[in-house]
Amino acid sequence: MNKFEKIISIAMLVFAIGFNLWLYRLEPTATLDPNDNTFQYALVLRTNEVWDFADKICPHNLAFSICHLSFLTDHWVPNWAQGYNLPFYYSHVPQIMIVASYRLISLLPFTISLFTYYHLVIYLLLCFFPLSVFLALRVINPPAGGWLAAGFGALIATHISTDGLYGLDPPSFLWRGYGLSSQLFGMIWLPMAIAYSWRFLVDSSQWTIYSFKTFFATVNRVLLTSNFLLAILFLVFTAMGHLGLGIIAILGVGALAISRPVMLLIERQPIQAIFRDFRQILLPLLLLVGTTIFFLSYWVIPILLNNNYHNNSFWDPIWKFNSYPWKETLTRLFNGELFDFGRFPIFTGLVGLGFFASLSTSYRPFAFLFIIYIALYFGRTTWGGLIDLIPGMADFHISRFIVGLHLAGLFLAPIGVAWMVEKLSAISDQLSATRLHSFIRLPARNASPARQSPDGSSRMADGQRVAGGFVYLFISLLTIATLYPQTIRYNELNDTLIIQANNNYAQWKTSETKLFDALQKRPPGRIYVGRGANWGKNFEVADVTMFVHISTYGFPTVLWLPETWSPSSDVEQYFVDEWPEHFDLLNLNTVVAPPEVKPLQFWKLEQTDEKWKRYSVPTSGYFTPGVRVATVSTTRDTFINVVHLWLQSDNVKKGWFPQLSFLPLPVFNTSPLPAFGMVDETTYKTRDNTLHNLFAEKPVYLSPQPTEKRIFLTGPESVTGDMIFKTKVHVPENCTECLLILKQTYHPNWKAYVDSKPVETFTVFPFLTAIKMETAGDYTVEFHYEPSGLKIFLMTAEGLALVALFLHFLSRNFARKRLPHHS
Amino acid sequence: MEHENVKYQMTNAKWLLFIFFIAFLLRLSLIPNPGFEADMSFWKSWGLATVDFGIVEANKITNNNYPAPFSYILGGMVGTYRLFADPHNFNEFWTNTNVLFLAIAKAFPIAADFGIAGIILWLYGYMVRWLKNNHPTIQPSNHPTIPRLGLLLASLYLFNPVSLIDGAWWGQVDSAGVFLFLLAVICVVKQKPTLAGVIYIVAVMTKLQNMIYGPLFFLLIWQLSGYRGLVRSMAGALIGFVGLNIEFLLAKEMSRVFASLTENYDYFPYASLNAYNLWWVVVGGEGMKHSDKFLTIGIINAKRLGLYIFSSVYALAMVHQFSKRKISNLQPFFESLILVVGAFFLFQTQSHDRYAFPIIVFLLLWAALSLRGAKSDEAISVDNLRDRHVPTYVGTRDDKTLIKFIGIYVFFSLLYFYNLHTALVINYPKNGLPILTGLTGPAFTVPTALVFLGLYCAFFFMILKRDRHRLYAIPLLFFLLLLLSSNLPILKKQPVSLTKLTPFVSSQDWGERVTNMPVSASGGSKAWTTLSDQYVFYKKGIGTHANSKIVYDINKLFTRLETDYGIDTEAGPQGSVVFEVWGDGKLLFRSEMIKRYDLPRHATVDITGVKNLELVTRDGGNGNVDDHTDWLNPILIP
Repeated sequence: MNKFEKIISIAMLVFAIGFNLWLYRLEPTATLDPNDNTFQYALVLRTNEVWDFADKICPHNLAFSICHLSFLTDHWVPNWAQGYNLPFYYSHVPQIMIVASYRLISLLPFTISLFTYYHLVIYLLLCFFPLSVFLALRVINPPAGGWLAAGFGALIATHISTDGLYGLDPPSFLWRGYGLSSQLFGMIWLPMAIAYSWRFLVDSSQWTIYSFKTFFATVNRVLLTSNFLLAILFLVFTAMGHLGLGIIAILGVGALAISRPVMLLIERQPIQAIFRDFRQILLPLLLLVGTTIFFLSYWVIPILLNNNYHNNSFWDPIWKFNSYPWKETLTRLFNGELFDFGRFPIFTGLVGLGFFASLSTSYRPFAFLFIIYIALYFGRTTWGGLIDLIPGMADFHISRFIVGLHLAGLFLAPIGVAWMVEKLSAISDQLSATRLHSFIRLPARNASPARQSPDGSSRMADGQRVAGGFVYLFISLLTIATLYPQTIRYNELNDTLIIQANNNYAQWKTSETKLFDALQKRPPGRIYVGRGANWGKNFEVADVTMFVHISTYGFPTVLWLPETWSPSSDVEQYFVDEWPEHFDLLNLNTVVAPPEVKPLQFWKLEQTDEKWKRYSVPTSGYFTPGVRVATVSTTRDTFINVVHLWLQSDNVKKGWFPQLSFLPLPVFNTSPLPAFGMVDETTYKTRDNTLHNLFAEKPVYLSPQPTEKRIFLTGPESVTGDMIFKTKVHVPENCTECLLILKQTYHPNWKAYVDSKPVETFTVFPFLTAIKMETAGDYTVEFHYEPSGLKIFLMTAEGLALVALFLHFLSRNFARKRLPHHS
Repeated sequence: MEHENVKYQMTNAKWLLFIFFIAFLLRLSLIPNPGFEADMSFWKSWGLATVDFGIVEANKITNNNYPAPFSYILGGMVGTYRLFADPHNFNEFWTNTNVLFLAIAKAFPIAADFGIAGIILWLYGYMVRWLKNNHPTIQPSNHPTIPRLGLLLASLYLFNPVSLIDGAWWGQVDSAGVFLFLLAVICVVKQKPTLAGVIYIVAVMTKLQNMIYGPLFFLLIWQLSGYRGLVRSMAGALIGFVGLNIEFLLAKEMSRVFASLTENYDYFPYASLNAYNLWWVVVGGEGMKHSDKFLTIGIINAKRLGLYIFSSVYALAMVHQFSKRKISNLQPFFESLILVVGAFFLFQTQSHDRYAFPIIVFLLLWAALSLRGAKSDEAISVDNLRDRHVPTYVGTRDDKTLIKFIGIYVFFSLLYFYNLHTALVINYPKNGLPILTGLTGPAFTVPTALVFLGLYCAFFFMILKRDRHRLYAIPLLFFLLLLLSSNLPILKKQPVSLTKLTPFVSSQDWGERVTNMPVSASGGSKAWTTLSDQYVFYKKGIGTHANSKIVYDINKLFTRLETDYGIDTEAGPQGSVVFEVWGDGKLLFRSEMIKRYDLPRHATVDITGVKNLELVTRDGGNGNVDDHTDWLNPILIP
């Protein structure tokens, strides 16, 4: 029957994947990264370290698995910006899966480095993306040769082209591009998430829910339908792979759902029918979104509750958060630059065709999906504050809706081709009486009279399918001829650059090994390797700056780049290279610089190599004493300038640390210390409710001590896995408002223990973790980074829910199997 | 009976030929008039560039601010001219009495005039044919005024001084825009939505003002052809858009197309461009001497208020048309169009004198369809034309109503002709009628504007009174909500960010003034960064470049200006500037010399009683290199 279609479409899929495997074959041979993969690999490496840490620290009893998993999903990453618990906020499941599978294959009798394994994984994800598109299109089954449309989708899946817009185009992932491997972890599931959600929403259109009883019966029935389970599975996987893509997917599901009542409205159905449909779609939608969020809740809820400790960088380009204006986006769309940058806009044309074809068929929701995604892509630049009415948009990189747009395009283009084949088929039917018939007759969705006739109908139908297959083949070849050369051209330079970087890196390898060996032996502390604004910019290992490179391998650095994660990352930019107290504040006890850099007075040369020199710098270690001199009430977005002024003053030298709090100013009205609240970036309000300007009246910090008193660090200091910091201190008499500060970014998950008793932690300038110690005596102080209790609870609940669901599934299947015996 | 009918038809045909012939002669006699000479010169320039360099390049190298595909028409004009004379013979080509070019240029609007007359006749004939088929008792011979009314309405257009001055005299293509739009409407009526979409886009690309009909037009398609028709018309519109701009698309220069569609917004930032409307009255008849950024209600400036009124009227027009969805007739469509065009002309600032031109056509079409009986729903409608609904009133039409309509129409036409004529002669006194050339002062123009407003209000309230639809309250509430929400800070006596106001003067030596970003952001989205001064960051402010001057109308509403200021971090090391604040011409504040690596400074300035607030940055005596000046978090305290 449609065996021929299947064969052709699978051949298309195999070709698409095979082409990728061949074209990008040098990707896994890269020995270092110049892009976002440095960050991604560092997270993988850190997960691998924490795996060992958790092995050691978790009790070997029933709770081991939960304890172990809790550390893997929530741990401290010390590499950048005074450390940050990235997995708490950022994707972590891909890292866990990579490390777990790596540890599994390490049991096999061959060796592969984690670095190469990681690159192999992302290479395969990119190469096999056509499979995901293929399967998704099989699920939605476009008209006229669904298999062939799926094959066509596979052929074009990895050939979108933009001028680096962070979409689904290869430059987002390749070595010479952005290296957005995290996006690959999400996008591999994304098409199927949308396709199964759509299928589920279509299937659920006939539900009738009149009472609680029928409601629960329906929910029970639905929960175990394959479309529902697969939709949830892929939605959850997408979000776990990349939270941003997960949000895009969930909004897409919303768009698919509301498209139905909207279309009814446009079709001028009675208002009652529209409301009825809306009510009908609401339950499936809530089930989809609610269940997805339930399985993500261990991650999402703690984020929402701790969103203050997540930085939105002032240094980030504005287009990233706000996206591009509508005019620019439409210009790009019509110039073909959203799908076909640098080539004839055939993909764009097919998307356009698919858009109108969808509107004319039952695939309207996919046109709607395109409209919603492009409207969202217009972003805050176009919609202003209106877009923030959608939950989560305030922290979202709205420009990433380009991914949604590309995804909709990947559905629409094959639908467009399928529609075109169907129309050609109709024309062919009309020409059936002519001699042309035998040459160009095409498969029709609605059987022609010839197909319906009992005699010979199957032969005719098969013939049409074969002809249809050839039309698809023709269109596919035309598309390949247009799209593929550009992909190949882009990759040519990619290959050249990989080879070049590998060669350059090989020349560095000896020096690097020597350096890394030495750095492993240094006392606990961070390493200064310059910054983008000084000699650090040109201190490179095979075109990768050294401060980026060493952080990839787990060496804690500073001033990597301001980035949207740690609240310390923006304020650390105010570090003054010439001030030893700043080196102390950030515990920069090691400097690695090119040989030609003139050392500062307080750097002490420790080791020399032809490519670098290593210096030591005196610091107090990861702890420092201080005194609290004020309380500053602020929001996440308003502390940067006040910290800036504090950092570049003598307060650091004096050890005067204001407390930084997200509580409102009146909370501190009874405190004896000066207190003020930031109203905006430069205006602050004092207790008398008067407004002041940071640059007209500098804030008052006042030491409560008549004579300066400080805690003494009596050491020794120890660091375990960058998760546990321990020291000994002596607190003198009358040490009012004395502080012990841990030089790690503050987060509520830092727990402090003084002689094993828990004490309260809080934030001090610039954004470090501190405890108050006023009672005289000698103490042992420990700071532990402990995974969020709420997260552990939610993870456990989700695990139990999964088990319950599985048992329910089993019992129902068991009951079904027993039924025939009874009957 | 048969014989009488034939005789009658022949009489009509003769009348028609006669009318068209006279109308043509009239127009022929006007062709040598140089018309609006600046526009003619622009057309020559843009058309010649199109012929010489191709449409894409021509749009890039000239100041052409018409929709990009309009250059095909301009190129066609010069191309036709080239068949008879050499456009590179500058003395001949550029003279304002180049009759050959004038004839070619004016041929297009003249042809459109006859096209519009034809459409009026067609629509009327369509109705009459329906009457004949459905009401055999009502025959033309029994009601001679019925078919002749079509001729009368067409004549009213063809001999309308407005259509004469706009096309044959002035040389503008307003009639062409209306004609194409009406063709699109006919396609809708004839159930050809794809073609309707294509032609509508052609109409928009010929005359940009047609863009404002879009929502009403597609609503009509949806009403008449349903969802499928709507999809087809949208596909047609897209095909039309791509087809007309294919050269730009292939050259990847669609930015030029979108720019041509949007750059006219705020192109002439004045209260009124010789349109005798609300703003003409407000500024005492000096519409082109007043910026439209003066405050009106609270902190809403004239431009925004105009936009609010127009949007609200548009919403009402949509409701008006939508509320007739069951009978979906053309009458409310033309009523809505008249409301919308009227609001566009009367309430928007920067309104051109010619923006009301379509009304003279739409009124006639509305009249043709509004032979009404006792109830509004009984009007001749598309539904009627499709035999779904049989009216019972036609023979009862009141001739007095018709005479009244014609009287008002003629009155309006004469007044509007006066508006157009005045706009022409204040630029080209020799091109007008001597008798009217002296009547250009506010003493004449302001009352004219008031009459326009009165006529519009009468029409507006006639519809409201007639239909009394509850949904009409929505646009009204929408308008009130807009007024209230915009003025909320003033009502609550809270500080207002200066970034919320639009200046009426904004000049600087490099780049463009940018809100909430430094001046380099005017270079495009890739250059968008946060405002900062020596790495002190701000979310709000104004990025500019010395020497700069920004003047706001603050209408004495505030007592204090609080602002930080400095040179943006993005600037190079040579930046050095002085910041000044002026109020009604008096210096209120001057900073010391500010350099690139200085931290921001703060200023508190007393602005009590100030109407015009002026922010100035001056280079520090070393030229203006790197002088990226920022006004940071500027707020006005009531």
